[in-house]
Order: sequence, then C-alpha cells, then structure tokens
Amino acid sequence: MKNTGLIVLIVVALIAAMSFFGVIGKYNTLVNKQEAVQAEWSQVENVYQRRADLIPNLVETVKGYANHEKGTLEAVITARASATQTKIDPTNMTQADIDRFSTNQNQLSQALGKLMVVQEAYPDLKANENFRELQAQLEGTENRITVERKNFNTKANDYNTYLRKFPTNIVANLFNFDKYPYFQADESAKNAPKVEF
Amino acid sequence: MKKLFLIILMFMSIYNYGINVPNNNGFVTDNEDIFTPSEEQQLTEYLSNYEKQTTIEIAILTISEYDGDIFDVAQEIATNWGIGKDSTNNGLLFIISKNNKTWRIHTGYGLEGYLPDGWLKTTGDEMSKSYFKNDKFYDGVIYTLNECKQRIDTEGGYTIDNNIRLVEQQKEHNKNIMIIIIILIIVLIILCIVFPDFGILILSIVLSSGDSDSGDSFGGGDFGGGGAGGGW
Repeated sequence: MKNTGLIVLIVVALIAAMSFFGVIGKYNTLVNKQEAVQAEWSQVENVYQRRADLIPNLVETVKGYANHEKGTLEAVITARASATQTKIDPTNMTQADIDRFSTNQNQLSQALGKLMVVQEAYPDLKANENFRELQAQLEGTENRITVERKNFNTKANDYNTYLRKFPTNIVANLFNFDKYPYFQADESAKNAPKVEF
Repeated sequence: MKKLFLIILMFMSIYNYGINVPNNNGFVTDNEDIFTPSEEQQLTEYLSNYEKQTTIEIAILTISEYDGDIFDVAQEIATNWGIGKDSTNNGLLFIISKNNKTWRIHTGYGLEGYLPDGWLKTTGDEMSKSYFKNDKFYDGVIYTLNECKQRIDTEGGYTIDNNIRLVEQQKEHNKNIMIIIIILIIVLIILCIVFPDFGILILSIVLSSGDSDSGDSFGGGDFGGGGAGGGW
C-alpha cells in the first residue's frame, strides 16, 4: 500500500514539473514573438517617418515651379502633420488604433498622389533633376512601406496564431497576453492616383 | 482511378501559387539569353571577384515574363534566393526584362544607405537611355556595376574590413554548430547500435524529414524593398 502511495506521489510530482516547465517554455515563446511584433512596428514607424522626412524638400521644390498649386501643397502639409502626430503605443494596440494610424497615413498618400500629378502641367518641374530624384525616393519609401506593413501582418499573425492555440491560450490568459491587430487594406487607398514614370 | 489521379496531378502543376520564383543559376541567371556566353562569363567573374573582395553579393537575372509589378517580383525573388550575407544583408538583385523593357535594381537592407533610391534611379535611367535602348545589355550592366562599385568605394564609406569580420564570425559560428551536430550524430549512431529498436525509430525520422536546402549559393540576406526601377 505504501508503494502505491509513493508511485502516485511521483507521478503527480512529474506532471506538476512538466506543467511548470511547459508553462515557462510557452511564456518565453510568447514574449519572443511579442517582441518580434514590436520590433517590426518600430520598423513600420521608421519607413513612414522616412516618407514624412522627404515632404518638406518636395513641397519647396514644387513651390518653386508651381506656386499656383497652393491648395494641393497645403493639403500635403496638413496631411503630413496629422500623420506624424498619430502615435500608437506598441504594447497596447487595438484594431481601432491601427486603423486610425493607417487612415491618416493613407490620407497623406492621397494628398501626395495629387501633388505628384501636378507635374504634368509644369514641364519645367517635371524635368527638374531634384524633383525627379525626390520622385524616385518617394516611390522608394512607398515600396518600403508596403514591405514593412506586410512583415508586420506576418509577425502579428505568427504571434496571434500561437496565442490562440491550446494549451498556450491558458498561459496567455494567465499573463495577460493580447492579440495584435492587423493592417487592413484601406478602401480609399485604391483610388489614390498612381504616379507613372 | 489512376486516370483521375493523373488529371488531378496535371491540374495541380498548372495552377500557380503566387509569384513563380525562377531557379537560381549562380551570379548570372540569364533566362532571356541577352548575354553571349563570353559576356556571361565575364559578368560572373566580375561579381565573383567583387564578392571575394567585399562580401557583397550581386545577382543578375534576366526574365521575359513575370506576374504583376516588377517590384513585387524583385522582392519575392531577392528574399527567396537570399542574396547577401545573413549578418549584413548586403545583397543586390539586378533584374532585366528585355521583353517588357523594364529594369529594377533591388537593394538589401545593408546596401540601402550606400546606394540610395534616387541615385539608383538616375544611374539606371542613364543606363537605359545610353545602352539598353540600343540593345547593348552587357555594356549597360557593366556601366551600372562600375558606378555602384565606385559609389560604394568612395562616397559610401563601406567598411569592408568590418563586413569581412562579421562574415568570418558567422562562418566560425556555423563551424561550431557543425561540430556539435557531428558529435550528436556519433552519439546517435552508438545508441542505435546498442538499441536496435531505437535505431529503426531514428532512421524513419531521418528518412521522412528529407527536406533539402534549396542550394546555399547565397548567404541568406534580407530585403526591405529599397532600390529603383524604370523602363526604356
């Protein structure tokens, strides 16, 4: 009888130990994946900032040739201000947060699109070396933004999927790990005028 | 039943999932045959020497058909082939499509600072105007490669020594991992001899996981979408 008691004790102890170490493993993996998402968010902010930094130079260049386009220029400046002021806390992101961020950035994209089209009416501007280089840089940042948004969604998906699976979801609930939202395709972005070289 | 199976197999091979990544053929993958064998050899030598000197990996691809935007294609192929060293992401993909009259130079994260988008655009446009328009593809590519080389050497301040050191560290790291793996394999073999049942289990695991690397010609570098493109 004593033997059975001992065996039961050992088995229970083993199960407890396995659960404990299982929890540690899952917790650490959750932390790693979450960190990866946050690091990627920084990268997203970087590439958007890169675009924002190009704009003052762009505005000045266009002003030099197309001063009558005041409305279009001001729209860009206002949209830029709005976009750069929209900050999100990466440790506490909701779908509404990311949607708001994305909408503001997309409005800037639209304003920029309208500005770049202006060159068709001003051949001197179109031929200007500086303007052409800025145009290339702008397209470059838009490309980078596309890549990093996609990377963010991939990493968020990786984390969210792991989070939701059993038994990780128990650990996640215990330690308050939350799902990350995704970048969604903005309906209005589809109507942005495309700049062709 | 067999017929049905064959039909299903046929359909599966026709259906394309996303962007088709062509097989890599070394430094120069000339699917459109726009270079003569001699030109291709010279380009390969140029790029191979450059890689030995600086650790920078440049790949040239000529492709006649592709789905969608050349930017998406470049990003997909560059990351799939893993051009550039893992530790420094110093890769560059040079895509030319004679059929579509487009080119794109796609820079890895590590080269973005040395070859800015605006400069690449200007250089590439010059290349298309002066060379590609007249079907002088080899001359055009050499022109651009020389321009990039010069820019990286002088203005860029690319620290070759530092990059070679990083690559050496990575090689050292990989070597250590290899040694550990060899030791583990020896231990496994001994266990398999002593416990035959264990051996059969291990053998079945090893055989089922027959996943081979897609050729480690490039260093596994990553790309953030930098670069420039154009047409002629």
